[in-house]
Amino acid sequence: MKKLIWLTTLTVLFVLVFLPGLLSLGLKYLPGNIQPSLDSTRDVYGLYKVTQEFTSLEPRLTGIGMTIKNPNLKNKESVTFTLYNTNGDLLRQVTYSGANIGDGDFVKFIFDPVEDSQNQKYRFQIESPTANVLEVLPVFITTAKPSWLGNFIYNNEVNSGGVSMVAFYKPESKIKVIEEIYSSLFSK
Amino acid sequence: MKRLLILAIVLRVLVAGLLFHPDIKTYNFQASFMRKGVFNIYSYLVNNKSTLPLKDEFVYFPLTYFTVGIYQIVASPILGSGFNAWLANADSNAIVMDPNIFRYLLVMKLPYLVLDIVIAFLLLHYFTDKTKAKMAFIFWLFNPFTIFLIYAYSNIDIYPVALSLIALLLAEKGRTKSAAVLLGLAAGFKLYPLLFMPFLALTGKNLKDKIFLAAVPILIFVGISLPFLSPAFINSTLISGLTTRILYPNLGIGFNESLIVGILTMVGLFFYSALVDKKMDMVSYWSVLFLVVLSFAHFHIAWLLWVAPFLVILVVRKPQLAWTILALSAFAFVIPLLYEDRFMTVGLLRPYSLYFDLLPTPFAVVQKFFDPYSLQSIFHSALAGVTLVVSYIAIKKEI
Repeated sequence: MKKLIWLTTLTVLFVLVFLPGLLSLGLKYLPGNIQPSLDSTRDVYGLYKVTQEFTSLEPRLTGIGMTIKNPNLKNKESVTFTLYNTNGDLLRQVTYSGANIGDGDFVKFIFDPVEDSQNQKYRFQIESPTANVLEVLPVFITTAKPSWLGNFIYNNEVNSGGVSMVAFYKPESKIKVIEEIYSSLFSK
Repeated sequence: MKRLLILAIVLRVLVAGLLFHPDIKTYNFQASFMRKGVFNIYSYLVNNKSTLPLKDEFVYFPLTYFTVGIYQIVASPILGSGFNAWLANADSNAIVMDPNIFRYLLVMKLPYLVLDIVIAFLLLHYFTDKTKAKMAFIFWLFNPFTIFLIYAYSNIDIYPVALSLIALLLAEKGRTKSAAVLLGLAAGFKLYPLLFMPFLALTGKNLKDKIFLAAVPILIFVGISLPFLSPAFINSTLISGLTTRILYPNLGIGFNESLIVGILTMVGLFFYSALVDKKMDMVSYWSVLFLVVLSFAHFHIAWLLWVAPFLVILVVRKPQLAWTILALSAFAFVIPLLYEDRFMTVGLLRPYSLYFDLLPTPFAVVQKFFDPYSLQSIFHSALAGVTLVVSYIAIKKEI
């Protein structure tokens, strides 16, 4: 009986106290912001691409996430994400197959960290050049544009709003992540 | 005993306050309309779907609505003025970042704690031997399965579970008519206690008695449900995916006909009890009945609680089954953790941090090297295998 009481007590304490810290070791990147509202969409296909300028708020920028539709999962073409600096130099490129994008998925384009990204301006482009009009990928746009989002360009024209995106950063260290998780719990 | 009880309560309070499954917010949001004078929640939700922030249907039976609604009224001074806005908030991030979340979770789960402790004390009454009674008490309070089932997954089935346990206790003491009434009331929360009605009817002394014991739970259930009878009620509860899931597993026999495994085994069990095992041990039959349901259906994690107190009694009465039932519980608990549902695992930790949204589920992790559905099937088959052996030993008296 004593063993059972100990086992149960330790199991509960393990799940509540140690498991969150242990699981956080698996976090390879952290979000820098909460995704803004999803208000409208712009279709990406053929020559129609989405370009978004933004300022990275933290160092070690390692990914951009956004919500993309793939109606009836028709797009099975290449979807390319390209990150540029203000000089137009290509910094990172990620290519996915549309076959792996579900309708309304939050798609994360993860790349090698850009170490000195804090307060630097960048722009990214999403395109699916071989997709036709029946294989559009509507990307969600927000009207609640945060101040660090710059111009949003669609079909070579500056549009209002911006891509409803989340920037991801590589954490400074695993210990920092654990610290953040427990401090977020105790701050409530 | 007192110290153990305090430790048991502390563990439960911690799990209740820190882990969050969104179901509790959904049914509390729906029950909050009682305060606004809504009687037929089923029609109300369907008719107002377009304007409501949460679109889900109310899948429980009427007594759940009234019990949760009345409790909210009683607990409103502790819950505070922001509670209703929190319930109606559809922003899944904002609700877990709310500084009051721990208070809300604790207060919403407080009735579960009361019923959980009531169940522990009810288990004492199943045994005349004090040592065995204490064993059952400790097995209930100190097993991680029920703690997480009730408090992490916000298992509202604890209401019918507690009522069913009282019904079974009364039936064992020969008060079968009171047991029939309680089974009917339990079905007013959730339909499953009616599954035991045929077995209770078997305990009747004569045909009239048997008919009475079969009719009372159904009549009470019908009486509770009748004022709500509408297409909305039928679609949300009686023919909902959750209720009919038990009918899914079947063996085709050609020409579009099939044998429904759940019904086949339940009917077999009934006739075995009626014709072969004439002195039925109700705890064993109750346990076997629900184990069969779990073993031959894609079950919801909440269903595991239906059988939990009866397994505790079974383990104490037949200690040779202890390790087997432990294995069975482990298999049964692991299966839903492998479902493609974040809130079975990592999603429960969202009150700690939204960072856990970035972690893959066990389903996604397994998918990298093995088919997760095959793994679920392996565990489910193991559960069914162990169930067959436990059922045989539980029902066979001389072992």
